[in-house]
Amino acid sequence: MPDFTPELQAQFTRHFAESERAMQAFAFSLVPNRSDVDDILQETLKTIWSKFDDYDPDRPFLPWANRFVYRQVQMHRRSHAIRSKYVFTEETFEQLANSSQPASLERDQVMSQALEKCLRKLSAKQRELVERRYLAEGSLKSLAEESGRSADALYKTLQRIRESLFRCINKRLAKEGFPA
Amino acid sequence: MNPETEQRVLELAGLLCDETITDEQFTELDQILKTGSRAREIYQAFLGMDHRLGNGALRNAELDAGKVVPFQKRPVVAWSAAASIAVLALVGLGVLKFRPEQEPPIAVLTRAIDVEWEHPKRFQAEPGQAVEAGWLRLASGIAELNFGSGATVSVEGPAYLRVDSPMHCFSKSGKLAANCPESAHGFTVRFPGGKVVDLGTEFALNTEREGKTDVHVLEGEVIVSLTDKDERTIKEKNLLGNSAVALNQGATEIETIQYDAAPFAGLQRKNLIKSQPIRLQFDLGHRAGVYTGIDAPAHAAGDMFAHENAWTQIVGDQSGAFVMADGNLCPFPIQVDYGHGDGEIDWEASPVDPWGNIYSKARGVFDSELCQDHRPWDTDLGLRIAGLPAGTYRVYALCRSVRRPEASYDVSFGTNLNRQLPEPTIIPPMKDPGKSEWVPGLTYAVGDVEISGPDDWATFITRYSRERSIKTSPHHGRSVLLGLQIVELK
Repeated sequence: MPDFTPELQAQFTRHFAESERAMQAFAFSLVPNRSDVDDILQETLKTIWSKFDDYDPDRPFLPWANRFVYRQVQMHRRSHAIRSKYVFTEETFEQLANSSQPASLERDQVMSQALEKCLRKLSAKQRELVERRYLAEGSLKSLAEESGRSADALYKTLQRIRESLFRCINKRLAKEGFPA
Repeated sequence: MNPETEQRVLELAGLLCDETITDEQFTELDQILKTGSRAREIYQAFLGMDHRLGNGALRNAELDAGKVVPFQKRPVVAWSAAASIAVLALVGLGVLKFRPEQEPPIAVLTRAIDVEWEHPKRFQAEPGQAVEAGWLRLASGIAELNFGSGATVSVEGPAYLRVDSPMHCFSKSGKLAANCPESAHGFTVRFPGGKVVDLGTEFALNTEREGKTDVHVLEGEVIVSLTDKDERTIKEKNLLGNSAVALNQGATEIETIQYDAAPFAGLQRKNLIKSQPIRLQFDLGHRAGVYTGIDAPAHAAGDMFAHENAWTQIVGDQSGAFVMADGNLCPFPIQVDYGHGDGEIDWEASPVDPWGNIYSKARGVFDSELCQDHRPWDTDLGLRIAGLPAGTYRVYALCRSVRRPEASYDVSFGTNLNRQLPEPTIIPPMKDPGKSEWVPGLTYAVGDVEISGPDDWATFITRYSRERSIKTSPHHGRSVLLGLQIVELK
C-alpha cells in the first residue's frame, strides 16, 4: 500500500482520469456488458492504487493499468462473476487480451476527437437515432412505436450508421498516422 | 482477411453491443476472433467506438456544435476520475441529463429573501438564475448576487443596482454589502459622484437618492474616490476596517463620518448564511466521487436551486464542518453515521466488500463501499444525520441501483429509527428502465423528518426486496444508497 500523500493521490488521479475511458473500452471488448465493466473497473481501481508504488512513471500508464484490467477480467471469469450471458472462450479471450496493438493514450484521444467530428457529420435523423440508442437506453423501442417502424428495422439503420462512423473514424486515424 | 469477413465482424459486433446477438452468432464471432488478428483489431476498435458513444462522445459533439445548453455554475469541488464514473452511472440509468459546463455569466442570483421586483413583468429572477448586464430594481427584500469574479453583493430594497461586469457594478440608490475574496481584488462599486475599489475586504454602502453615499468598511481595506461628472478622480483615500466616510456628489472633499455597521448586519454574508435554511447533499456514489450535478431529485422537485450544486462525499462515518449545497460552510457541526443489519440496524457496523471482508479503514476515496453494502441481500442499510437544528427536514434518497431498474426496495424515513417502520414505503420495480425523469417513490425516495434538536438523528433505512424485485440476472440485487439530499423546510 503506498503512502497516501496528496502528491501521489494527485498523480494517480491524473493518470486514472486520462486513461479511464480507454481502460473501460478495453474491458468492454473483453466482457461486452456495461455492468460487468463497472464492476471490473471498480476492482481494478483498488488494485492499481494499492500497486501504484510499483508503477514506473517513465513508462506509459495505460498499458500498465490495462494489465490489471486483464487480470481482473480473468478473476471474474474464473469465479463465474460475469453477469453477461456472452462469455468468450478462453482462447479467444486470451487472444483479445494480448492484442498485438499496444494500448496507447494518444490513439485513444485521437479516436475520441475523430468520433466527435464524425458524429457532427450525421444528419439530424441519424443523429436522433444514435442519441436514442446511447443517451436514453431502452428507448429505441419507444422510437419504433412513435415512428411506426419496426425495432428490427431501426437496429439495422443504426448499424449502418455505426459502420459509416467506424469508417469515418478509421480514415481520420489514418490521417493522424494511426493505422486502422 | 477478406472484406466479407470484415463486414461480418462489424455486423456481429453491432448485434453484440445491442445485446440482440443469438447464441449461434456469438459462437461464430468467437470463432472468427480466435483465428484472425485483423478481426480482433476491428472488433476491439468497434467496441471502443460503441463504448465512447455511450460515454460522453455524443455530448461532447453536441457541445461543440454550438447548441444552447442550460447554464451551470462551476462546481465548487471537483474530483475528476471517480466522479465521472458515478455520474455516468446515473446517466446510464437515464435519470440524469448531462449539463456541460459553460463560461460563467456576469453574476448569478444566489439568494432572494422576501424579494419584490419593481417591475415584475419586466424583470423577475429566482435564485440560481444568471444575471446579465443591466439594472436590478428591487422594491423590497434582500437579493444576493455572486459575481463571476467571486465577489458577493447583497442588496436591500428599495434599491437600484446596475450590473456592469464580473468586476463592476453601479449603485444608484439603496443599501448594499460586498464581500470580496482574493479573486475579486479590485472589485469596484460605483455610485453617483464616487466609487469604492476593493483591496480584499468586506464593505457596505448606502446611496441616498440625493447623491450622497456612505461607505463603511467592515473588514480589510478599500480605496474610496470622489469623482466628477466624467468619472475622473478628484480625491481618493485608503480606508481601513471599522471606519466610514461620506461622499457627496459635487463635493470636493471626502468627509469622515461615524462608523456604524449595524444597519448593514442583515446584509452581511455571514449573517445571511446563518439565517438560510439548511440544505445539504451527500454523495455516496458507487466510487464515492463528488457528484457535482444539479439534476438531482431535490432540484427537480423545486426544493433546491440550480446554483446549489455542491455535494459532500461521504466515505464512512463522518462528523464536523460540512459544505452546504450552495458552497457555503454549514454553520452547525453535522454527524453522519452509517449502519446495517437484518431488521435492527447496527450503527457501529462497517461496510463489507464482495468477499465479506470489513472495510476496516477508509483509504481515501477509493475504498468506500458505503453506497453498496456487499452483505447478503437480506440487509437493511441505514444512514442517519445528527447536528441539525430543530425543524422539519425533507430527505431525498437516491436509493436505487443504477444497474437494476427492475429492483424493488422497502424504505423508511424517521427520527431516531433503529429499524424500518412497521409499514415501510415500497419503491416498486421500474417498468420503463429508460425512465428519464425523477419520479418520487419510483426513481428516488422522499420523506419528511421532524427534528427537535441537534441530538436527534434524521434517519433513512433502505432494504432490497427479494420478493418484489424482478430477477433479470443470476444474482440478486442489494440495498444501495447513492446520494442523499436534505432540505430544511421553512
